[in-house]
Amino acid sequence: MPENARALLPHLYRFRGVALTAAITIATLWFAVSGRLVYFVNPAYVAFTIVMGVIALAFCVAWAVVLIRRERPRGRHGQVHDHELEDDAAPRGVPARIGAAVAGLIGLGMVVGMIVLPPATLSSATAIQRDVAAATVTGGADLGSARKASTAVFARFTVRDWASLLAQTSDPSFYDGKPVDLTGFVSPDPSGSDDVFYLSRFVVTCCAVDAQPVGVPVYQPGWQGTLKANQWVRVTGGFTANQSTDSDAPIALTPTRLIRTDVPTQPYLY
Amino acid sequence: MKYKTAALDSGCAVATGNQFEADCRVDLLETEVVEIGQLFASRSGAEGFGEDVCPHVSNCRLSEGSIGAHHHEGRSWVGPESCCNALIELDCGLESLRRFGEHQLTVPNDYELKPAIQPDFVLHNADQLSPFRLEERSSVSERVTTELVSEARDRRTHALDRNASATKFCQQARLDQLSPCDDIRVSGRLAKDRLVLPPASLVSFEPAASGSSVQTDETINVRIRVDRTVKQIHGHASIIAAPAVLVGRPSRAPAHSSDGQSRIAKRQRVREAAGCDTPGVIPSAGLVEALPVRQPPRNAILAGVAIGTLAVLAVVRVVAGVLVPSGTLPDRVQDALTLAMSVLIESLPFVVLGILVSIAVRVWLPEGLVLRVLPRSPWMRRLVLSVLGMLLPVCECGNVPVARGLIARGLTAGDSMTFLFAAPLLNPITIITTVQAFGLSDGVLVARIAGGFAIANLLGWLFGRHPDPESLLTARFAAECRLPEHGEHGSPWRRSVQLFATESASLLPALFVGAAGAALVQTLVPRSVLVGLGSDPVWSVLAMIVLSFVISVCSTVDAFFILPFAATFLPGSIVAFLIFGALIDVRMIALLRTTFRSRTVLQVLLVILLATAALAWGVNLLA
Repeated sequence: MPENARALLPHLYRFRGVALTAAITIATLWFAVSGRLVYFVNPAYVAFTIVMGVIALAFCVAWAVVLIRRERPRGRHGQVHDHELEDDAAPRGVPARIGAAVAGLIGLGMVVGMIVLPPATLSSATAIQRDVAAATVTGGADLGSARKASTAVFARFTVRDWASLLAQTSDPSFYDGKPVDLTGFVSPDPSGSDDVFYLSRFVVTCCAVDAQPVGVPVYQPGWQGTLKANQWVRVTGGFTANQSTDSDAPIALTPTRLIRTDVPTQPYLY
Repeated sequence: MKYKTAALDSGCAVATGNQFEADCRVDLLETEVVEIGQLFASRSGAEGFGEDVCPHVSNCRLSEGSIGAHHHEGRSWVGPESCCNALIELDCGLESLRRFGEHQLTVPNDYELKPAIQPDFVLHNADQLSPFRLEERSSVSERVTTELVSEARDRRTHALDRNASATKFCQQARLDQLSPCDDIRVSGRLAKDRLVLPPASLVSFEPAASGSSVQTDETINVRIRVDRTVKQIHGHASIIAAPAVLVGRPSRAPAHSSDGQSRIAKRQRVREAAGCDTPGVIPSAGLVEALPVRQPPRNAILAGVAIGTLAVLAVVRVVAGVLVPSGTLPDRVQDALTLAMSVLIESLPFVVLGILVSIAVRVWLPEGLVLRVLPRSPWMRRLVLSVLGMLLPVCECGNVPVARGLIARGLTAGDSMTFLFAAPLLNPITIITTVQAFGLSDGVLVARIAGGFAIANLLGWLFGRHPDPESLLTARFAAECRLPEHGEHGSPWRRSVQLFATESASLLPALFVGAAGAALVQTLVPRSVLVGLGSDPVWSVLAMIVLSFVISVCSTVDAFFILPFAATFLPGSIVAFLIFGALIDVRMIALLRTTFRSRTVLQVLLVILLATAALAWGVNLLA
C-alpha cells in the first residue's frame, strides 16, 4: 500500500477546487440556516449568496458522481474517456510546491477555522483600528429634520443616527429631553478613559470588509468593572454634556438603564 | 529542401500494461529525407515540453531500426539536425497514459534560425500532406479531429516556444480568410460523430473548397488527432499525429491561393486514384518501455473518504460548538478570520457566476464564435471587449474566470486584459452605485468610467504588442489552453462539470490566499495612517491607491465605502481609489496569478498604478 499512499496525495490534490468550493458553500449554507450569514455579508446579498452556493454545491456533487461513475467499464472496450478528469497535474518545481503548500495551509486553516470556531461579528479591536471615535458617518439622521422630529422618532434612532447628529452639533440643549434607546457593543474609548466607552455598531455596505464603525460615547464611570469590551448592551438614557475629564467627546450618553444583551439578529447597520 | 512525412502509429501494446510500443510507420516519397523524431516522456501540464521528463518512463528508447537514433539521458532522437518532427509523449504516472506524435515545423535551436516555411509551399505540397494512415485497430474507438496550426513569421506569436503553436491559430488576424479550424475537414471513412471504427481507419484531409486563402508569411501545420481509450490502463491515451511536416524554403514563387486550392484538390484526387492509401511504408519501429504505471486509487474509495471527512467535520463542528466558546481567539485574530471569511463568502458567488459564464463560453458557445463575432481591427475589438462588461454585472473577481474562458477560446492575453479591466468599471451596477454615491457632480463618475476605459484599452494595447503573448500566461494555463483535447469529448454537461472542477481548482486556492492576505493587511494597517495623509494633493492620491489596494472591496460597492472619506479627500484622490481598487487589489493579485505570470501581473500593476496616479493628479489639478 505505500505506493498507493504515495499516489493518494497528488490524487487528492486534484480535489482541491471542488473541496474548497464545497467547504465554503456548506459553511455558507450552514451560516444562512443558523442566521449567521449576516455576520459576513449585507442581508441584501444573502439570497444571491445562497443561490450561487446551491449551484456550486450542485456542481461539486455532479463532479463526484462523474468521478464515481467513470470507474465502471463501459462495454467491452474498457473504460470511458476519463483523462479529462485527470489532466490537472500536481505542481512540480520547488516554488510551485511551496506556493501550493502555502495555499493549502491557508485554505485548510480557514476551513478549520470556519468549522471549529463559532462565527463572530467584528470586534471592538476593529472598531478602534478603524477609528470609531473619529469616523465620518454617512446615512445617519440629518440635523435639520431631527430638530422637527417627534419623541417617537428619536426612540427609533440607531447608533448611526445619533453618531451622525453628534458629528453635526455638540450643543447640549439640542439633546435635552430626547429619549435614547440604543443597542450596540462596548468599545473602549480610544483615549483610554475609564469613564467613557463607545457604544458601537458597524455600518456594512456589502460585506464585513467594508464595515465602518459608528459609535456614541457613553458616560459610565468605572465601566470596566462591570463590562467587558465587545459585550453587547442596550442603553436607555439621554445625551448630556460629557462629565468625564479624561475623554475628548463633548457630549456623552448618560444611561438611566444599561442591560447586557445577546448579539442581535442583524448585528450590523445597513 | 527536405521534408518529412511521418504518420505516427500508435501501436496497441499499451494494453499489456507496462510496455509501450510505439510503432512508427513513416510514409515516404522517393526524395524524402526522413527524420524520426524525439521520443520522450513528459507529463501533461508540464512546464514545457520535455522539460519535465516523467520519471516513470526514464528509460524510453527508440529501438534499433530507426534511422541514426541518438540516445541521451532517456531521450532518443534521430538525425543530425533532428527536427522534432515526431514527438511521442508518454503521459504516465498517476493520471493518464498519453502519447501523441506531433510534427513541428520548427527546428531545435530555431530561436535565431527560423525556417521559412511558406503556406503556399504547404499548399503546393499538399499532396504530400495526405493521406494520413491509421493502422487497423482492434479494440479502440478513436476520435479524429483536425486543427490548423499557424505561426506567423513576424514573430508575433510563439516565436520562442516550439510547442506553443497549437490552438492559437484562430486569433491570427492575418489568417482570417482561411476560416481556421473549420475549413480543414477530415474526409475518409469517418462517421458523423468522428469516430473511426476499426478497421475503417484511413483518413485523409483536404482543405475545404471554400474561398480559403493564405497569407504568404504564415506557417501552417495540419494535424490529425486521435484520441482513444485504451484497455486496462486507467487513463486515456491520446495520439496526435500530423501527416506531414515540411521544412525548408519554398522553391516556387507564391501562387495565387485559389490556384493552390484547386491544385490541392486535384492532387488529392490524383493521389487517391493512384492508390496512395498504401504508400511505401518503412516500419521504423520505436519501442518505448515504461516502468509500471501505478493504478490510481479507486475513486469510489476517495468519494467515501470525502463523505467520511464531511461526517467527521460535522461531528467536530457539533463538539466544537459545545467546547469552544466564542471569544477564544484574541479579538484581532478573530476579526482577521471574520474579514477573510467575509471576503470569501462575498466573492464566491461572483466567482461561481464567472465560472458559469466561462463554462458557457468554453463549452456551450460554438467554437470560434467569440472570435468571429469580434471585429477584426484591434482597436475596435478592444472597444467591443471593453463594453462587454456591461452585459456581465459581475465584480472584478468574477471576471477572472470569464477572461480565462475567453483566452481558452483563442482571445489574446492583451485583448482579454481589456475585458478584464474594463468590465468592473463599466458594468451597470458599478455605474449605478457610483451615481448613487457621488451623483453626477464633481466629475467623479465621468473620471471613473472614462479613466477605467482608457486604462483597460491602454493595457490591451500594451500587452497586445507583446511579441509572444503566450509567455504572459502561466505555463500551466498556457498548456491548458494549448491542449486541444480540453473540452472536446464527453457530453457538454460532463465537460461543464469538469471545467467547473478545473476552474475552481485554479481560482479557489487563489481566492483563499487573496482573502487571507486582504484580511491580514486590513487588520494590521491602521486606517488612520492612510487617512492621516488627508488632503495633500499628491500624497492623498497615493494613500487612496494604497487603501483601495489593501481593502479589496468589490467595484460594485466601493463608491459607498469611500463616500465617508469624500469630505476629507480631494476628488482626484477619490477617483484614484475608485479606479485603482476596482482594477486591482490584494485579492485580485492572487486571482490574476492563476492566469498570468508574476512578471505580467507586476507589469499590469505598475501600468495601472502610473496611469491612475497620473489621472488622479490631473483631476486634482483641475479641481
